[in-house]
Amino acid sequence: MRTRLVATATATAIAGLAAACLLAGCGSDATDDSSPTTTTETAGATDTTGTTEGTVGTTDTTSTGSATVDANTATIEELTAAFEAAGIDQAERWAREVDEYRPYDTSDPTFASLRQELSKYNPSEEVLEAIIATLTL
Amino acid sequence: MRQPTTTRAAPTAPASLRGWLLVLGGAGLVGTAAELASLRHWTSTTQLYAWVALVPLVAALGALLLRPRAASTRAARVLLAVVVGFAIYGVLTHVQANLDAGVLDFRYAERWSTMSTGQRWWAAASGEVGPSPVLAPAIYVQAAACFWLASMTSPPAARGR
Repeated sequence: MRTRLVATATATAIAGLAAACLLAGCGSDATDDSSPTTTTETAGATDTTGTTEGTVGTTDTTSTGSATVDANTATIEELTAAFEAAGIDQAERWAREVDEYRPYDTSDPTFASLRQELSKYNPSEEVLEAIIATLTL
Repeated sequence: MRQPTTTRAAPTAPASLRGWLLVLGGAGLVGTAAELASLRHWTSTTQLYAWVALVPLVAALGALLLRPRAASTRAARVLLAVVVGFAIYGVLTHVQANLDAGVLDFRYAERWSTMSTGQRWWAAASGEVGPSPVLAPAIYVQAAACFWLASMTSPPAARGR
């Protein structure tokens, strides 16, 4: 009797958790599917000076006139300021997200990993591109 | 006089069930650790709690495997209750993370602040907004449930009250 009870409880638990995990996966997919990820090159992020690459607290200027900051070394305040200058809403939030996923591979100037991480938040394509364009390695 | 040879009996149904429950829970434990590692789930203090939750789970498994006695079974159950607490905290933390990310989603950015609390919670809890898989921490409940049920089918020596 006890064994039968345990077996029934086990089957119920496994079925319930399987359903829960399925739901969790669906939730995750929902955000991924709808995220407008693109692989557009960030032409606007090209540095015009090229003299301060990798230096903490310094910025370069892009061809569009907005500042770029080093994705690996800039402080959250510097990232926030750069994002605000680029006209990105929720600049501080995005700065914290960029900070969270450090370090970034310097051999990946397209920020593929960062794009993938930020896409989970489902930003607009313009915002995503603006963030990437504001960063340099 | 020659002693009668003893042959090892085939595992009884409860023993076999106990073994499979421990294997199932253990597989969940290992899988969770692998998933956390692949996600680099250590970029903030809060994310480290997922790793901390593995400690009582491993300890409970050890207690059930190595010392299946009444005291260690009781201790294992206490540890499993702690794990369930971690799992509940994890689910709530994931919902909160999704809530915080609502304003970053381009579909909700403009109307997020005008939505009711219930609407925002539903969007976050259902995974409509945010990056966090809400029910992922429930895997801890599954593993803990397996170990808990295994403790109910423990050897006679471990069934003390």
